[in-house]
Amino acid sequence: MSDSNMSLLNENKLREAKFWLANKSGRMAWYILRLLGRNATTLPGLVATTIDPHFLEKFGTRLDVALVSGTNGKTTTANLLSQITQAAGAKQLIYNGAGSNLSRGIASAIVAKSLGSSAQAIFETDEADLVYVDTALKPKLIVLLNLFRDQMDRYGELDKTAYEWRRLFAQERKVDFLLNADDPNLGWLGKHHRNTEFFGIYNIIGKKKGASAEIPRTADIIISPHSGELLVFNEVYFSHMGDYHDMASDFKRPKLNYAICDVNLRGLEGTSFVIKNPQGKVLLNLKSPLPGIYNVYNAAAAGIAALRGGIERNLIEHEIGKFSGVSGRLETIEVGPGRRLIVALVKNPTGFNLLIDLLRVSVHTDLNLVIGINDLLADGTDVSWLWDVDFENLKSSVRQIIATGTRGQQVALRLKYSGLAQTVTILPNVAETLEKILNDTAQMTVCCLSYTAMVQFRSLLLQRRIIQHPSRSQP
Amino acid sequence: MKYGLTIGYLYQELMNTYGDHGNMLALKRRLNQRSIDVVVKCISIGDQLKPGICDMYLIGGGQNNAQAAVARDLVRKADTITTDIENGVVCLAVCGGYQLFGKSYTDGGGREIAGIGVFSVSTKAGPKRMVGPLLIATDLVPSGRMIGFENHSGQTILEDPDSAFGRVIHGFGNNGQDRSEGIRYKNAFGTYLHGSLLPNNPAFADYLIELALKRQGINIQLPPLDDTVEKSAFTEMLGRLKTKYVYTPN
Repeated sequence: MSDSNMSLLNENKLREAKFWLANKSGRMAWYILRLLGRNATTLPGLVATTIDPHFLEKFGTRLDVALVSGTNGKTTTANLLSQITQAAGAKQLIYNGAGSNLSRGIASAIVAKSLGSSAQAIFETDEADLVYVDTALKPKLIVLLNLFRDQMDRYGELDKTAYEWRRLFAQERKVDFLLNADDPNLGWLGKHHRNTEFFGIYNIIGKKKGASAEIPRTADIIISPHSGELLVFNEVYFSHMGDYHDMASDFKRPKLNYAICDVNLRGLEGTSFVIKNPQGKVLLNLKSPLPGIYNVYNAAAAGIAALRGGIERNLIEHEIGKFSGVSGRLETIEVGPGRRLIVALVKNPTGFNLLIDLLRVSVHTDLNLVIGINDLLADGTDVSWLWDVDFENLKSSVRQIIATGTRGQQVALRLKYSGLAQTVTILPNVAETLEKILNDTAQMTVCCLSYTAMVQFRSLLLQRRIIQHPSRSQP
Repeated sequence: MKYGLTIGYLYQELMNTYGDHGNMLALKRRLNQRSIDVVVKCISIGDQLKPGICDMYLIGGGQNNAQAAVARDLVRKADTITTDIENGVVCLAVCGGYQLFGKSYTDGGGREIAGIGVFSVSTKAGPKRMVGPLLIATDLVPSGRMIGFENHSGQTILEDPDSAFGRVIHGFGNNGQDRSEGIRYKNAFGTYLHGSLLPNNPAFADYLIELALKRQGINIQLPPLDDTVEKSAFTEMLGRLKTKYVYTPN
């Protein structure tokens, strides 16, 4: 064999060896962490990618990958899609169900499963990492849900992420996109891309068409990504999502390949809706226990992706019908006879305002609320966004509020300016808060928690055996 | 006798990315509690604006696309706003609003957007984002301290260094170099403090209110309010300062 061929062969062997070592070391780290009863969703991936920086790329060549990204809803959508896919027979599916969605989280999910029999992977991916992960894993399908203001201290600005995502659509490689047309940024990004399909809402039951085309004060985009001028909305479903067109150009919401019709919002009980193709044929008839309009988009995205993947309609409808959510993203926990907690993750004004709307509509008795906001890195260190949440809307629904977290005082200040001061108690931490609510007789307490506050809360509930698993969807 | 103030709330649906709506909430509530009438005029793209109507202007920070659209419209309102500010109308301009009330803003690509020149400053997008808690020393409030949170890549340079209203104790401030924060021109203030600013610094909110009333010939000392929660929130924010942002004092 010639010298150059030999060195090429050795290079290949070295590459393979590195990958094998990275995989094995990562898996060892995973074993040890699990043995110690610790979370294993980040470190194993870090180990693997440190040993072999090309770990993800090499892995990508072996698998059929789908990515789910966006600001809100990716954990719910990715988990739901994974659930459906597993139920359809993909027993060795790889996915990062616990929501660890940076590239090291994805690598961790990979080392946690033995690669042998896996053919498919579904990963939720952080918006800022999406371009990198796409280059590394070369997915066949990318599902994009929305872009909202979130963790402004990390990402700087909303437009910047949208601009970065343009690179995904400009690349040579064939990749299919499934986009939410109701988000102007996504409508703009996918406009000219050949392999893009769009879903969006066609009508909501009980809402007259065109009745409220006023953008809420806290909407993130009302400038057209196309012309820089104001967007006009024929319909607003929530925040900046709806049916829009540009005053200054012909840019408007793209035609829907999948129309979400007859949406019935049933408060905390969930939603129902029908998905039709452009000819009006019903593709899916869905009833979901997940509440709120944002979950309509999540369930629709998962259902449509599954349908496109060849999964049978009945199975999709069945799985969506019984999927009651991911840990912490609006989850109901029984804490005693006739007493329950609802735990919700809050990260930005849009999500929190939607939650407040849900509570106003659903709750007939007086409400007990916990608002726990930490400002650690994973929560977002800038909590100014609290001033864009309309707590005033809770005035007639709420009996008692506990403000807590590392920014509990800021929460209390915000509530004071909402006219809710008389109902507020400030507690220094999540542990004391849990004590107080467990000793309370209230039938229902809704806990609105930032990310690390939620992790702390669940860990305490686990310690007291009120819940069985740290996360409902550990891969 | 009933007093009243008219607040011109500029582009609130566009310059709304950083929670600066809290400034409006703080002013409204603190005015209501002193039985002072407040009328809020929401002014946006395409709206007519005449001088002599508003006692106060508020404008917050927004995203790049939004700021570009606002800048184009501000040109049409520039005469009114500069006339009003020369006549002592109170103004609080935060972050992007501050930049647009300056002479110019140059973005990362070198493109220059004209501001309305109320403040003698110019801003250039810098290489890194200045994010974090911002604590300043200032004469504007009895305690001598104001606190908030900043998030900007724009570096603002003051033509007159003495026109800053604050000196940075912890954080970046106007440009991360000369330790100045904000600017004062007559009764107009520009600043990078989010948080948002007025709820967390109630003495400054009251100071702005007193300035606006004084301009109407009403020289009263506002009756104090119970600001216990505000003080606790301030202490909490102080506790969040991280050492890597601290300048070593001279």
